[in-house]
Amino acid sequence: MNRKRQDRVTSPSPFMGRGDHLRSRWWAGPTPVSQCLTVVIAALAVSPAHRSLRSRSPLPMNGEGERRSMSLLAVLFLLLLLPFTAHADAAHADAAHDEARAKALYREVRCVACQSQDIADSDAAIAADMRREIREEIAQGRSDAEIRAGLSARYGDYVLFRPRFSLGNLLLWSLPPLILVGGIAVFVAISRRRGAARDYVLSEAEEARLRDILKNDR
Amino acid sequence: MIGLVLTCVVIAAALIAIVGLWHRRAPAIDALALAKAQYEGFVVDVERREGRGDIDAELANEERVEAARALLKAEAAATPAYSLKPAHAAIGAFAVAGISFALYALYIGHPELGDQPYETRVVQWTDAARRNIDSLPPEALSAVLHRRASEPDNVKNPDFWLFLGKVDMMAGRYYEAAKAFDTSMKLSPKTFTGWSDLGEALYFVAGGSVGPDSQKAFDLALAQDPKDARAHYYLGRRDLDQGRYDSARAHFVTAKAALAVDDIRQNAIAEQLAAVETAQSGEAAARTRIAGMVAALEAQLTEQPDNADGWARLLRSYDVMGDAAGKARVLKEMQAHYRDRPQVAADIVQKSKGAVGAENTGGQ
Amino acid sequence: MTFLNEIGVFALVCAFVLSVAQVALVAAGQWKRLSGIERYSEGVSLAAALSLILSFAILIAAFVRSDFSVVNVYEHSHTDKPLLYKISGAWGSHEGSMLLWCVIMLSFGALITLLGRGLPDSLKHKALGIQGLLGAAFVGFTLFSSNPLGRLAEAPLQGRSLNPALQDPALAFHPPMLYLGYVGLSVVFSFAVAALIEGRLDRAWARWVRPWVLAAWVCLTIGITLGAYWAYYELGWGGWWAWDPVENASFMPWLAATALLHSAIVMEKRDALKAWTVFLAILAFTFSMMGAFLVRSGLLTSVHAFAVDPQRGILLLTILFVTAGLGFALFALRVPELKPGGLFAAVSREASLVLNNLLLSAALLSVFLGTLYPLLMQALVDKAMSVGGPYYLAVFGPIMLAAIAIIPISQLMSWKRSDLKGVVQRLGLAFGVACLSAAIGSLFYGGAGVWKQVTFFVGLLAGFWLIWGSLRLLMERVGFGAAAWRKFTALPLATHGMILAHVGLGIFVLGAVVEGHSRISIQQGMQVGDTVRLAGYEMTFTGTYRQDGANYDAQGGIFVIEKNGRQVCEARPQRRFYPASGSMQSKVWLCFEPLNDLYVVLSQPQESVGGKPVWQVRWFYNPWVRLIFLGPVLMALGGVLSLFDRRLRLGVATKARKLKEAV
Repeated sequence: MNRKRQDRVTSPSPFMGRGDHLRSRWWAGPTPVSQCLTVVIAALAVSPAHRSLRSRSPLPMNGEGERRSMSLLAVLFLLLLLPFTAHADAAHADAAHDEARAKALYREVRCVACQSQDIADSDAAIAADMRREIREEIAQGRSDAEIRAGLSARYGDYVLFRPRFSLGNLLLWSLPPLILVGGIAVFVAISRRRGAARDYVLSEAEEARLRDILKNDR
Repeated sequence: MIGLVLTCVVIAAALIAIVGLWHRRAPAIDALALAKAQYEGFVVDVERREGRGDIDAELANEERVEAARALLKAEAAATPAYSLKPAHAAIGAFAVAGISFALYALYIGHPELGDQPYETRVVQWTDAARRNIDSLPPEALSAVLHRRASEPDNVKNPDFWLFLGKVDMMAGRYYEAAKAFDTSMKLSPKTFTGWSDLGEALYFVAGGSVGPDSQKAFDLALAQDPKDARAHYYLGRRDLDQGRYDSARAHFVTAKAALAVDDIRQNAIAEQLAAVETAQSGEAAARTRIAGMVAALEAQLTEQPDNADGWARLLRSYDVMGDAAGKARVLKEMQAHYRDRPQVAADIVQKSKGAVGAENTGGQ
Repeated sequence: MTFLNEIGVFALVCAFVLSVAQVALVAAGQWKRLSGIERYSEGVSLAAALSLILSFAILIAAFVRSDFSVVNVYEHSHTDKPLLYKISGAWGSHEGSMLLWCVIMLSFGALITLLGRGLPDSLKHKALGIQGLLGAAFVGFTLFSSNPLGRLAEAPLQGRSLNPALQDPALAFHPPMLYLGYVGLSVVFSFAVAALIEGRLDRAWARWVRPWVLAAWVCLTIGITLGAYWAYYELGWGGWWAWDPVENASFMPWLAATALLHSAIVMEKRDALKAWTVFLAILAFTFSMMGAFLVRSGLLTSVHAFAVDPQRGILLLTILFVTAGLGFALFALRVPELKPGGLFAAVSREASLVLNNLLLSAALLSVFLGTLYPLLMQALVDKAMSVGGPYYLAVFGPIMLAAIAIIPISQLMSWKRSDLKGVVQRLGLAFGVACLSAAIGSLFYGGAGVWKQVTFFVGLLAGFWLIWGSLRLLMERVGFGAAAWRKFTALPLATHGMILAHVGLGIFVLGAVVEGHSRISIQQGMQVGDTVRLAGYEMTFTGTYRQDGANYDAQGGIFVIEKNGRQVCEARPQRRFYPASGSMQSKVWLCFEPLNDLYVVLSQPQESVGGKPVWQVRWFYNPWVRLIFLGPVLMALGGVLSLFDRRLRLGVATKARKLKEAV
């Protein structure tokens, strides 16, 4: 039977549950890596060394108010890092992790019998079969890449909503970023080349004609 | 037809009048005057924005200069306006109207086809039904009857609903037919005679199969009249589909006997009877073939009993044939052979349970 | 006997001939001896529009009267349909929707005449000529290849109905809104081509064109949102956007129009980016036409697509190539003559808008590739492939994220030359508050896995950054003092519109991120009396009911949903049987929690051994999903506010007043 479903039915609220789990991790103490990160940032926020950094930073630091707002920012950064420190070690290959992997994969796989629907959303029988297949493969310890390769070998590339990086798909993947980079390059080149501004001063003759026109029949 | 032509002429004239009227109402604007007005409006707006601090003086100046240049350009390009002579305008108008008429009459239009709104047609059908009810196609009659279903004479009249249901059946509106029969039945459950009609309608609603509801209806029909040909016919078809050939044949034969010899439905029954024969003989042939294969396989296993796949296939074959005794015997023989290897025996039994090609499927 | 339908056909023919006449008049006017004759095109544009409106009204009348002697009515209507859907059936088919498209196109031509009294005649008439050309092409296509009033000599006895999934109020109004947007861009196209012919591309042009772009953009926004809402609550799959090719076809013109909207501002204020703005103006309508083509080509299978024979698709493709080709060829010819406009520094409002345009173009390109690449691969190398959500998430997502990230910065920048440091400092607090909001949001809705957590946080941050950054601008302009209200009301409507639209985008982003990340669902077979739990809610199946609808019979379930023992709502989802088409349709039930939806769908009941039927129930908890639909509404409202700005109305009001004094 579906593990996901059972989880959902038994826990009173996935959000609540996750939150509790998270908080307990948070208070129990983060892992060394995230702990170090937090300590470094905290040190940066208050240490004299950071002051010297700040003097080199592009932001002009003049006055107590600025400094206070910078410390405020640093504290805010700390706050926002908390969820990560809490979760940095939660990503073990446990049931929850498998569950998340399976769900992410469902979103990438097309239900071959439906109209542009992924198998997560479809309640067709074939989608259920494919979901089960993916679950089994995850349980067997295969990596996401292996599972994707297996699926495309069995059903063809058609089944994957995220096309592979291949020579045939080169344009698909590379054109949007290329056009962005190219566009910026072209824009920079044009603005370099264009030296003279358009002159926004009317010449004598133009002034005279303009006065002439406006004076007419008024 | 005359009306159509006249209306089209009026429309064409009105459209041309619109062109003329607009042209007259909107006199030619001196391009230079317009450009000047635009320039002045623009300058006023620039000053307003500059005053409010939306733009700085430099930008304001740029905009002013640009507007001034546009004005200078407009002055240089200004040409006197041309006015169309009335005769030429008339020729143009006639050309447009004429081409429209020609396109419509010669290519696109069907001036001979009048409107046929549904309400009007229902009224016509009602008249026709009053004169001769058989002249109407069932769909039309159904529409007429549905209109009259709310009349006080009809709304509580079981016979009306029974008739409506039959008409709906002929019109191919099975769901409405089933509803009509149901209404009739509810109005007079004691005297209802349309059980087999209801069953037939439900048979079609279910897409050509006898479900629990139509089964019940047919059962009641047979309780009322054991020789009801329609009920026997559909029950026979159900039995045929499910492979109960003898029962199917019995149903069809009863139906055949219940109908007059020259009844047109005799053909359908004969067809079904033939289908029963074909299906039955086909199955018998398949059975013989399987029995032959089974015998060969059994003989082979007696000689070379160490063939796990063979045992599984043999077990499955007996399952397919529905021969429980034979299966038990083979199972015993197989287990006797694999006495010292129970795991293999269990595997064989497991394998024999899957249907052919069922390895990849299975429910959720 | 009446001949209403035939009168409609005649009116359609008249509209076609008048459109051709409109082009001919403008063309003749370019000839020196007849110069001035093009002024008649104004009246002709009015007549053509009226004629086509008459034709469309007659088509609607045919649907209302269920006149099955009209093929279109026979194929797409039924006497049992409710009146609203009979009327919306008039544009529910390929033929009818083409007619609607043409009606809007010619009406916009008439609007150029009616609203364009402040425009220079030469530009206005050239625009009318181009609009007439487009009108003639599309009306001609409709008339000769897809006559919506085509006739049958023997009227069939009953119509063939409409897909029940399309019988929905949101869908009834979705195509008209969308078409107003698509075709509104045709006016922009006409003005762009006219300006290229005229050789006049200046601030004034940008100012005349901007209201049209804005109006089209507002309609597109509403139309797309209605479509998404329809997909959300009618199709019963819990989602609202599937990156379906037909959805993309409507999204691409929107992206182009959004880019155009911003570059037109630069052109209007600074006389810069002229070539680019004109290019976008042509491109936007090209994408509109491509959308119309894709939906009708038969290339796509989609819930939204019309089933149409390929011949018509080829005709439409020809129109697309000829008109767009004409526009782009003229562009290539004329662009070298353009004088460079105002200069600006690398750090300035202009430069940031250029960056925004580049990002939007790259995003547009990714959607374009994602839509057409599978079709091309299929056609060229006969390889079936799919491009879906994960691709767009990987390519479109980061690009749009960057575009969103620069919006608050861009808003605070000054024209010509700006001070990045100053702007960053002014936004420091907004960024901090956005980070805090996003962190709190992550705490409540976060999921498992570092990567998910990071993407979720970044998504939330983008949304909050937009909202707080835009509010920061408002705060700077208005302040907190006693004068705040006076300053607030004195702020130009365009500024209000901009802030509202950007806040709306932020709200949409928040909704999309939270919904996409934290949506959960459960599917279970239930018997009366069963209870399931999801996200802290408890749902009990208390009973079933039957209902006779207008043209369907419904079977429904009653579900009581409770949270912490308190009843939140009673859900009554249905399964409807439409006997006319013999099809079943699930009707979703939505429980409105403030921001979140509880979304219940019912599937076919199955008989069980115990006698009580088992109903397959799918239950979604969609957090913050309301924001997805609220955001675009705010964006559209922002567009409407801008539309009423004094400066844009200037083109009509002030000039007309001045004109009266002048003439």
